[in-house]
Amino acid sequence: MLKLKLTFFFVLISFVSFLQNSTLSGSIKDSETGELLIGASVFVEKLKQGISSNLYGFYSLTIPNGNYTVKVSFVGYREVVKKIEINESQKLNIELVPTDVFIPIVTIEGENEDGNTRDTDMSKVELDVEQLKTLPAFMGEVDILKSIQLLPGVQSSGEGNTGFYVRGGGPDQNLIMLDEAVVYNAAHLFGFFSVFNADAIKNVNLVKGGMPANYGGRLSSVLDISMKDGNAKKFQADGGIGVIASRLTLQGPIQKNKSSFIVSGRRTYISELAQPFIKDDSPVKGSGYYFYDFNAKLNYEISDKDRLYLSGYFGKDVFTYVQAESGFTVNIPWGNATAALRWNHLFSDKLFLNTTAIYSSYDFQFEGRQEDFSFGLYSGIRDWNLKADFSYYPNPKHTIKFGANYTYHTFIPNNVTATQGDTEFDLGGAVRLYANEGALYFLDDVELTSLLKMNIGFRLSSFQHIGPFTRYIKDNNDNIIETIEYTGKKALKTYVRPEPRVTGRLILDENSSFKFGSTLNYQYMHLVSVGGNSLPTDLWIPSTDVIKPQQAIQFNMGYFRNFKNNMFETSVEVYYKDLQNLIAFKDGADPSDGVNDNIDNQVTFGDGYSYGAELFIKKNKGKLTGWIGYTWSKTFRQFDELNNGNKYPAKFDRRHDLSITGAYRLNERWVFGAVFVYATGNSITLPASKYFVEGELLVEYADRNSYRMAPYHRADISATWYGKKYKEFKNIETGEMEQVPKKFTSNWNFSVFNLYNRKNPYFIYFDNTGNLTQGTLDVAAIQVSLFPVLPSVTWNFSF
Amino acid sequence: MKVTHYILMVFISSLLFSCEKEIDVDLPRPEEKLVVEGVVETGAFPYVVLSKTSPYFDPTDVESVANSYVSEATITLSDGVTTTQMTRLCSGTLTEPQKDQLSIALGIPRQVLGAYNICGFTDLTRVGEVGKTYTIAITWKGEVYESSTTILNPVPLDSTWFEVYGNRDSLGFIYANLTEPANDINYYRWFARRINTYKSGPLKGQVKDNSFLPPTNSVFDDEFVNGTTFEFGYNRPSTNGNPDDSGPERSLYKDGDTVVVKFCNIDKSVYDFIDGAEEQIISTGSPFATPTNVFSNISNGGLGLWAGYSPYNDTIFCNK
Repeated sequence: MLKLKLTFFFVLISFVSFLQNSTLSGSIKDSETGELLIGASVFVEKLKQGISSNLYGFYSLTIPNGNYTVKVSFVGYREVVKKIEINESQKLNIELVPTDVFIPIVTIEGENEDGNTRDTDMSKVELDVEQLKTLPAFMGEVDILKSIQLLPGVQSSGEGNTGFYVRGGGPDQNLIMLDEAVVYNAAHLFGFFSVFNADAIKNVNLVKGGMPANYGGRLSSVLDISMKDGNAKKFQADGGIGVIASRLTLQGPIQKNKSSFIVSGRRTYISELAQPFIKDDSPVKGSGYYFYDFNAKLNYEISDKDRLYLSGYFGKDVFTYVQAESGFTVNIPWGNATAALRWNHLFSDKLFLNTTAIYSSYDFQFEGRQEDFSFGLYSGIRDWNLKADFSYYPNPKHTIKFGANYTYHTFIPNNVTATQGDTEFDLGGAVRLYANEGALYFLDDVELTSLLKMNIGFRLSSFQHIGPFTRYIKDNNDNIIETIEYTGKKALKTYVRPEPRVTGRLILDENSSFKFGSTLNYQYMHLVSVGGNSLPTDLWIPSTDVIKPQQAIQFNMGYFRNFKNNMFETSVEVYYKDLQNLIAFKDGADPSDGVNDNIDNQVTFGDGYSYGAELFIKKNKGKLTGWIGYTWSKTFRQFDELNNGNKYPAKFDRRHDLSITGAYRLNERWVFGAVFVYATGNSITLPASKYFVEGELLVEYADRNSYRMAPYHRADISATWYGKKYKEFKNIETGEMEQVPKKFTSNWNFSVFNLYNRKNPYFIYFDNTGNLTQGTLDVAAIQVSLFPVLPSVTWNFSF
Repeated sequence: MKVTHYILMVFISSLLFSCEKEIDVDLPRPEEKLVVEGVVETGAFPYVVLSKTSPYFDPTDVESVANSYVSEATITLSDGVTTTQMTRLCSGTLTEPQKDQLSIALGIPRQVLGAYNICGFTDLTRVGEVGKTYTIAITWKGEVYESSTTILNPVPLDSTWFEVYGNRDSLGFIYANLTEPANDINYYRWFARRINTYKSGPLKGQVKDNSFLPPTNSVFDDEFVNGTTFEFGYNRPSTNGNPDDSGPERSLYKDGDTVVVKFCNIDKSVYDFIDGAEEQIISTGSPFATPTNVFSNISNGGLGLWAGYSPYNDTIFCNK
């Protein structure tokens, strides 16, 4: 029945409804910088119909001819109200003025009008980077990934860590994209900082459930991050000097309003600063660490219909470890590189195309040396990706998206080399795996009745493991019984999977709505990690004939309600997620031991499920803004070969997870921020019993993840002091005081992390003292906490 | 990769403001499991010592260690042809020097051997022979635990020598040259023992090592070296008690030492146990390691190891 109805609608839109309609389309920009605005709302009051600008600031709205009032609004900008008469299709490019520019008093901030109750998007959150900058920042570094952990349904992977888990999914189940290029390892310094330099970021969009069909390849979430395009109107420099790192961003027009650039860099000096505090007898004396990031982007408006973007990211962590006593030195660099070339093309005022060519890579290296023995390890992943995404806006009742996506993957799970003097050990050479990944999708965001709107989508994904490849078949004793060599680009295993996606919203009354969704997702690439933490050594591996694609089915629904003219947005969502073909290392597996072996021989497979409820209350307007997010959830895993086949709580199974954030704008000069988080302690595996063999203490572990560490809670505060933005002078002609914006502005951010010095557990280890043979052995459990109360100060400037 | 994890842990916990406190851990009481430590070696009487696991955070004083040993069990030993019951020998019947030896050889606290009657099992009617597979069957509390191990052909070292380490004057490592048999997968374990006496200090006149000791990473397999001739070296295993186990001589041999190397060909189950145990010892509690129980070749949920060793012995006089 539904199918029939849909077909009827398509016929209708194609032949009938166009006759007396015209299309209003254009782009929405920031008036100060010329940046295209993503997700701004264009709303026609008389028709109660509207649309949001897409990833490229483009909107298109087809409406019956007539006279209308059009409201254009976006968070952080003054609303623009335009009266238009529309008889034929017309372009309407709109520039919005940021609220903090011509401000003083309280202004009405625009917001995507009732967006959260009207859109079919559910479990989706957009973050305004400028707003995040008023929240307390860990060591003064504003971090996007840490901010999204404050949202319900998103959990931090640990103290100060940028790794995150969405609704019971693993850290590898998040699709993290920077300007559409996949970022494989979003962490610097073992996760304490993310690779995203907030100065270069325009927009952050998180989808944690009800993933639309234009996204795929991961099970749990999409984090779509857009870099700034660069100021198209004037040259601008922004920077900051912080406790551990400094940043500088330059942007400006190449040809005014036609083309612009942005370059942004960041580097730490934590290790240089820490050196004096490391004791001479410390095992890390002489060791060092730094990371840097570099973002760059060019964009060029070829014509009204064509626009080109070239963007790139390059970042590296470098860690050196020196043990002078034994002459042991280690050098460990790792990092991501991405590049994306995009072409936006308007076929008509209703059909928009974005074509992207992307390169993305992640590399990890380890070089160790002691005397004449040297050891090297290398792993990584490399992608070439081509995609085309169409948006079609036939009329306000439909937004249709369709497209295709192809990626060529090269996986290097390990490449080990070792030499001693002139002798080179045969460690099997580099292991490389190759794969094709493709997808076709179609979705229609359709208003079925004035109350019911649905986003109906279908994605057909495929994955192909191709040669060359050497398959080692092993018996139960780990002995190779057969070796099969595949040469050439022969397809070794092909998966094709349908992924239906449906979400819908039903308007209950003017301020509230009910939303529901059901999605099926497949994931063909897997991250296997040795420990429970995200580490640079984690390996990406493809699906093969042994490793099946991971699968997730998610059901979610929610009630959304706004209060007080959208001053408060609230929502309650519940979800159930079923996960299959999850992957983990077998007990005792050593991923670096890939010689004469396939990494998929070392992994084992299992299932999982997660369910929970999320509560979200957000205050958007007024001097005090912020939100409260609370999640109640349960997450389990079951692997036949782990924990004796019994189900066990996932490491990140967290019963309670609460985040409260607030920003208070006292006046033009002072903004205060605060964050409080509380989370049930992580589950870990502890030793249950001990025994002795050859006089050595050995342990038998209790059930996997059967012990819970103490709860995690912490409060952070910040104060930001803004320098004057205006110079005042007396106008000689009128005799009145006038304000002129200052060229150079700056602000000071003072943050205190872990205000009440909570000693949160990071891990627990066991300290053996005494000696067994003397009968004095004693075992103690020691809890390690990382960060005490940490004040920081950062100075930011702009001119 | 394991090394990487270790380094990262050291780095994180020492550079990043970390702070530590002792906590009480409340875990349900685990069930007791049987632990086997048994060896059959070419030319030596086979022996088995039984014990049981105890809760991890229980104290490890002399009494609790003594109570963890299991005497009330019966063990049969078979080489496929002959099956015998192993005889029980208890520390109460040993002389004081024999107890000293036993304490060092098995790692049983000396006070425990002195104050308690600890029993082990042996078969004085036969010694280990190359090529035979030995099976033990232990009956304890009505349950039967079994295990088998094989004494493989010994693999000789081509040569062994002492070499001073860097600019350490008279201190260095023991090196060996091995021509690895190409035909099959081999696993090896290295033991060493200094048989010369201390010339000075509190232990003057005593033999430096009372028994063969394994260094750290005492086992390796031939995956990377199969069929090749190569050189490798080992540092000096420590006994955690001798005066030269700390200070500049730690882990190093000294000019003038007489060292007997026992290089054993072992089967896969012995390798898997030792490798797992050594890995667990360095990684217990590391947040970057997956908590993993040590492999055991004992059936029915038993722990520990029944090990067959096929040694090749060589003696080195350390001269720089």
